[in-house]
Parts: sequence; C-alpha cells; structure tokens
Amino acid sequence: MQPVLKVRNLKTQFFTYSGVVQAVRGIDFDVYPAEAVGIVGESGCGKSVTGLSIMRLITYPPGKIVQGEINLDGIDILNTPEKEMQKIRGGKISMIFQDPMTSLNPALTIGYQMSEMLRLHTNLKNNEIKERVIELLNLVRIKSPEEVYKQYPHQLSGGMRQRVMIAMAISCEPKIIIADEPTTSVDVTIQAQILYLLHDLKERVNSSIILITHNLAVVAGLCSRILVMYAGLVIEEGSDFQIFENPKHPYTWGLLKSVPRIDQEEKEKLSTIAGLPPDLISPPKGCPFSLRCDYAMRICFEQLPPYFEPEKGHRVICWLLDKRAPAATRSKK
Amino acid sequence: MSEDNILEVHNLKKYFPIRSGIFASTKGVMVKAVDDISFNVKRGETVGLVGETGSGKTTVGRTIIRLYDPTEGQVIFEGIDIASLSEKEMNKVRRRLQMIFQDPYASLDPRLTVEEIVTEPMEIHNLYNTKQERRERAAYILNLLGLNPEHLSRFPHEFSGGQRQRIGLARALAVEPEFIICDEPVSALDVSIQAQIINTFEDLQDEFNLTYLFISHDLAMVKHISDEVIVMYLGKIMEIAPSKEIYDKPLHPYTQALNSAVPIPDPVVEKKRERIILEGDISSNINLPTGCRFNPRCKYTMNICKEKEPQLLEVSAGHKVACYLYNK
Amino acid sequence: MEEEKLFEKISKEELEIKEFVRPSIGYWADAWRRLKMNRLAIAGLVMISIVILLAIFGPMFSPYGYDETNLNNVYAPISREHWFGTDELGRDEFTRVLYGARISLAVGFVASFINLIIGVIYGGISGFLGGKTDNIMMRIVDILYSIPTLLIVILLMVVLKPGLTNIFIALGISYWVGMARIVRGQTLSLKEQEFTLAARTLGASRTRILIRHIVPNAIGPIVVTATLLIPNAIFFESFLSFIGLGVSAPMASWGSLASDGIRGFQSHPNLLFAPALFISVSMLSFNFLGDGLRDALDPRLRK
Repeated sequence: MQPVLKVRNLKTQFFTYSGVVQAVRGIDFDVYPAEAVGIVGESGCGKSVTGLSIMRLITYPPGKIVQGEINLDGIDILNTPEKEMQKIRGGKISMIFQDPMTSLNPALTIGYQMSEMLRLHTNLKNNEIKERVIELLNLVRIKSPEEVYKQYPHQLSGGMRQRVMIAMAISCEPKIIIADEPTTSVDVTIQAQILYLLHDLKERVNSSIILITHNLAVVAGLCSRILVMYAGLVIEEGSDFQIFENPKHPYTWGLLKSVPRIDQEEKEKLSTIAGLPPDLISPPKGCPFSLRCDYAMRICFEQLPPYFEPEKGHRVICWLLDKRAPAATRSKK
Repeated sequence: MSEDNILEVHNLKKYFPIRSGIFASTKGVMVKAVDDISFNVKRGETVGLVGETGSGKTTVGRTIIRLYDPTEGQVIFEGIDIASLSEKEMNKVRRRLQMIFQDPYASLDPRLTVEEIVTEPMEIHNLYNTKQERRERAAYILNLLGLNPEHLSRFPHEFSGGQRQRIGLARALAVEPEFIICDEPVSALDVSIQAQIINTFEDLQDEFNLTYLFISHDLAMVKHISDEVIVMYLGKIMEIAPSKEIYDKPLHPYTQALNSAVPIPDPVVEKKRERIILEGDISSNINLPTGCRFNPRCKYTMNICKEKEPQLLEVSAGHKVACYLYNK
Repeated sequence: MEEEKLFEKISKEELEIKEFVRPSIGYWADAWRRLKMNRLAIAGLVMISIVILLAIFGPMFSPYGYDETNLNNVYAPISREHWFGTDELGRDEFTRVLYGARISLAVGFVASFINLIIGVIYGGISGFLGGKTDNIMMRIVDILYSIPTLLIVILLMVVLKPGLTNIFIALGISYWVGMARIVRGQTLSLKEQEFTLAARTLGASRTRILIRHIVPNAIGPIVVTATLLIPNAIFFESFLSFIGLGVSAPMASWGSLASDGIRGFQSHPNLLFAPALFISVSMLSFNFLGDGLRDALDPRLRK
C-alpha cells in the first residue's frame, strides 16, 4: 500500500531575537490510508510545529521550513504555490485545533461558516449545501442540527464547538485530518465523547488521522501507530503495542511511568525524569536526552545515535540498541 | 469536632450574584457555585477534590481560605469557625493555612525577586527578626525543594514552569503551615515535571506531617495522591470514598462515567474496556435541573431523581454517596 | 576515544547537570534594551533632551533678554546676531522661543505630573475597592469627561484673568480622567491575578497588596500614559495661547509666539516658523517616545 503522506527530513526553524530555534530537526514518517497516527511529546518537542509544517501554516517571520520534503497524495507540498495550497487545505487535508473558539468566526453562524467551506471546496449547489451541512452535523452526533445551523459559536458549549470543528474538518472528505490537542481544553467526559467520535469517524469517512497530544493515554485507544517526539526529533516510532508494551527508548520508559494509571492497584511512587529538555537554540551534539538519561554512556554525549530497528516498524534513536552497548532493561513496571 | 479532624466543613454554600448592567439589583439570579456541602479532613492525610468545569471545586478551596466569603455554613479549622472571623483575625489563621495555585506563571509577582517572594510571608507574620535571618530561611527552603539557593536574586520569568511551581510551594512553606490547599497545582505542567512536583508534595507531607486538600480535574492523579476522594458535580458532592474504592467500587453513576472517561496508557486494556459515554454536556450552573443535578445525563434516572435532591449517605465504612440507587 | 570506552556507562557524578536559567535581567534593564532597538523612540528621546537642555541653559548664554526691546532693529532678518530674526519690538526671536520652551515644557510636565498623582490615586482606589464605590467614582469621571476642556477654560476666564494658573487649573480638572480610567482598569485586572490572590492567602493587608503588588505592576501603562499626556498638554497650552486665552505679553510661550508670528506671516515667515518648528518637533518626539515606551514596557512581550 502506498502512503498517503510522506514526510522526509523535515526541518523547521524559528528566527528569534535570542537565536535560531531548531524546533523540528529532521524527521521522517509515513501515514497510510485510513490509519490513525499519534504524535506524542511534551511542550516544545516540536509536535505542533510538525502539524503546522504539513499544513504549510508556518508564517515567516519568524518561522520557516528550511529543509525537507512533504508529499501528500502525490502533491509536493513545499513547492506548491500559496493559491493552490488554499485549495488543498480544507480539501485534501484539514486541521482541528485545541481551542475551537479561536478557530471559528464569532460573528458568523455555524451554518454560514460550514456552507462557506463547502462552497469553496466542492461543486455542490446551494440547496444541496444546506442538506450536506445538516448531514455532517448529524455525523458528529449533534442532536439538533437544524438549530445549531442557525446558532453562533458563543451559544455552543466547548464540546459542541469542537464537534462543529470536526464536522468542518471532515466536510470535504480529506485524505488526512490533523488534530492538534483536540481534547486538551475540554473536560474528561467530553474528551471521552470526542475520542469516541474520532474513532467512529475514522472507520466511516476513510480519512487518516494524525493525533497530536501530550497525553500518552489518549493515543492508546485511538492510534495504531505512535511517534514519540523529543527536542525536535522522533526518538521512537512503533505500533501501539510496541510503544506501550515493549518500548525501547529510556525517554518513553520515563514518560510511561511518570503518569499515574487509574487502574493501578497499589500505591507507589511515580518515577520522574530529572531535569529539563534541552534548549533548542543550541541543542547538544549527542543524544538530546543524554543529560536526563539514567543509562547514558560516553558515546551518548558525543554522537547523535542513528535509527535502530529492533523489530519491523519499530524505530528508535538510542545507543543502547547498539551491539556494543551493555544490556539495559526497563526497570519493573 | 473529632480529635483527628484538622478541618470540618459543614453545610458550606457559596452563591455568586449575576449582575448585568450598572443598576441591576444584586438580589436577582444566583450562580450556586457551591451548594450545601460537608466533609472532613483528617490531620496528616490528603483529601482529593475532583470535578469538571462548573463543579465548584476551585470555589470550595477559595472559600475555605476566605478569598471568598461563604454565603452560609461553617468551616472549622483546628476548632475555630474561620468562616465567621474578621479579615484581621483570618490573616492570623493564614499562617497555618496556605494555598498553592494552578498557574505557575500568574501566581508569582513578576516584579519581585525570588527572595522577596519567599520572604514576604515571613515579613507579614513577623517571623524572624532580621532580613538576613529571613534570607537564610528562604535559602534553606529552596534547597529543600531542589532549587539552587544562589538563585534568590533572580526573577520568576527566568525559571521554567516546574521551577516556578516550586517557588510557589516555597512561599507557602515559608510560614510553616499545617494545611495546604493545592488548587490544580500540576495541571499546567508537562507530564515528566508533574511527577517531580507530586513526589515533592509527598516527601514534604512525610517530613512535616502536612495535610493537603488536593483539587484537580485529573482523577488518576487525585487517586494517586489522596487517601480519600470527593467527587463534585455542579456544586454538590456526589460521592466520598477511600481512594482505592473510587476506581474499584464507584457507586454513583457519575463517578462510574468519570472513571470510564479517563484513558489508560495501555492499548490492550483500552481496547477491552467497557466504555460509558455520557450523553450531552454539563448543565448550566444558573438553571440547575430539579432533583438530582446529574439526572439529565444519567442512564438510571428514576422519577424521584427528577423531583427531590438525594442526600449524601454513608453506605459502607467511609464511603458516602448521594444517589437514590443506594437509598431505597 | 577508544570504542570500548565510548559504550561505558557514565556515572551520575560525572554528569555535570547544567542548570536551565535565563540570564538575570531586571524589569527596567529589559525595557531599556527593547527601547534601544526602537530607532524612532530613541530619536524622540534625543530631540526631547536637546529641547529641554536648550530651554534650561539657552537663555543663560543668550546676550539678549526675552523682554529686551530694541526699536532700532525691528523685524530683523535671520542673521548671525539674531538666529531667528527679531519681532516687531526688536526682541530676539531665538531667545523668546527658548524662553517660550520653558513655559510650554513646564506646562507639559507639571500638568502631566498633577494628572499622574490625581489619576493614579483616584483610579487606584476606584479599581481596588470595586463594587459601589467604583461605580460612583467612575460615573463622576464620565461626567467630567463629557465637559469640553475649552468650556472650562472660558468659564474660568470669568473668574480669573488669562494666564498660567488658569491653564493649570483647566488641565488639572479635565486631563486626569484618562489616567484614572487606565489605572482603574489595570487595578481591576491585577486584583484578580493569581499573585494578588496568593498575597491575600498569605495574610497581606490591603495597603500592602496595593503598594507592593498592584502599583508596581501597573507602572508600565502609567508611564506610557503620562508620557503621552505631556505633548497633549503642550499642544493645549499652545492652542489656548494662540487664541489669546493663555499667557500674555511680555511672557511668551510657543503658542503665543506663533499667534504673534501669524500677523506678519507674509513678510516675515520666520516669526511663525520658529515656534511652529519647536511645537512640531516636540509633539512628534514625545509621541514617538510614548509609543516606544508602550512597546518596551508591554509585559506580554517579556519572555
């Protein structure tokens, strides 16, 4: 099967007063049709910048994609004129943001905004457009779509607005939906509704989803493949099973053990990752995690490790996987 | 008042008037942010207060420490009803009762140095005689919290979120309090930093026999740190249970749904789990549903649920629930 | 390094954990750093300094007095002796413009200072106490705001003679309301900030919170407003003097000089242009500086 999105050696930088921030430092990944991929990492790891780079929504100044290749369904995204890009955004690829309030226009009704989107990207006639909007609102399980059609964004709750955003994102049956922290600003019971909805839609509309989040638990139920990002790099990539049951990178180990699990039987201390992520204006020449790593070796400070592939589809940047390294195993769960 | 209880809250209510326009009367519509709640906190324990938007959990914390004056009810802290104290008398109590805020960026005055921030409470309560003594004490506390005492002369914006939260903690500890209200102390931080702060909380509790009221929307975190968990919904307590039972034996349909909504970082477990997806949104605080506040979203709703509000009753040792399913 | 050694585990002691701290820089140092990057603001600052120095020291070095007439040398053209020429009584125009600068700048600074004091106290109390007090205090501000300043001046003329006192009173009554509104807004929002709440939970008194936490954090917008008030006051004084409601001869301000100059404008344009130039340059300079300060002191830009 051909991937629908190919990202190769993507580098995005921000030119700020204090220096050049290397937000994304050369990442590669593929997304296959109808697949859900999770990008997980802490703030400043470059996960959101990756999403915006794929949409080509990085504004210069200060941000710039300095190198790389992004291929969406045969289209070379980085060399497409802005006019063309406007048709691609919302058409072939769409995005859901963390705060739906700022991405909806407060002065226009939901119906108007959704119709506008369809008018721009499809050839539907006026009377068909309204029908389609109602159908979409039904699809995202909004109970009274006719009523919501006439309402303004501020009249809806946070969860409802996020549903409207999702309805807009799927309206043109895009190849890929990028969801950037879609549940971070809503309550847990609403988060459960939205995740369930995304799961359900993935099967029905046949789009691929890239879910960007800081919450590892959120991707566990939805994504079949997961990328763990740290300091602008994908430090580990694998299937959900590989990442959660058999992770290889000490950072992934730490991340998994530092959050309490609600189903945990006995109470035990959380394990912590000491220190802070490196400054991306002058990232360390070796492994960016070396300073915080309990297993660090001399080489980790000298050289950035290459990708090791312990299993098919499982890629890890870590010297521990080198044959010459001492055996290191994750301390018990 | 029982001997072991450091804090007892009796029938606490906090209503906020909604004012629209300049001349509107304040007697009109009220938001019932906290509506008649009672609970106790034992000395040296941690009680978790969990709830979603509009549950009133933050208001509870702020009313206990009298940032808000309660509309009704008693807050008995070490035998004194602090709900009825004057501002002056209350300020004295604040030496033993402290608070940590959610946003490590907003809770530190950007114009003061770390030294000024940490020594301010000592100045207010006249602890230590000289500036030098206060500085030494501040350095000692910073060191205790894993911060470099040499950074006393720096400003808050020079630190990361986790470090700032430690500075906030240092400020609270400066007066050697017995009880600390923690209002979402880690939710603004990255996961790896959250664990560092949570462990610090636990270490300090062991060392100084502190009592915490830990307010959060994160049920997994609350369950982890607390001995007892209180679940709130729209200003009411739905359930109080020992933290182990809150996941193993949740009684209230809302607690069950809340548990089910918390994702588990394990795809195998996650795929097998039975999900309870609540319909609809949280009702508005202004037009509360009659009867049980949860009834519009509950799948077990009976006639009585729509008519009368259920009482919070003890069903087993230390486990209370406000639901007619357990009260026939 | 040998290959085997490369894969040796590094002990914790060997790891020198570099601490993450940004360079320590105070609020004003940081603001100054940003202000320096703004060329227009710096140009404004330089021009203002020059005008102030000229106003203070200029007349001392001038061989002429501001009211020293010389009827043998009226309407002298621009020359080495008289840089801006002389007026209809033979007074040196350059000296008179510098002298006028004293009056105009004094009006600007004093008016701004009075407004700063009244506005900060009034706005601070209104915002900090809030509720009904705030409501009443702000309605008073609304009423004062709705009375045109010119009307106040004309009414004052009935009681007092035209002159500086008149102008100060008029500016004092009307201009502080803008400052009061800004300070009130700042206080209202700072009062709800978590650090102010934190100070309350520490047991801090109201006075302490106001002095230690609220005022220092509102200082940025206060400084900007005060800076922008100066050119406003200068302009208003010039306008009053120009229409004859301000200072009277032989005293001079930029406005009254311009008013005098306009009479012989066609034959002796230098008498109009000299004061007009000073008015425009100082107006622009204060505005550039004020805008620069606004950007430099904005806490949102401080990361």
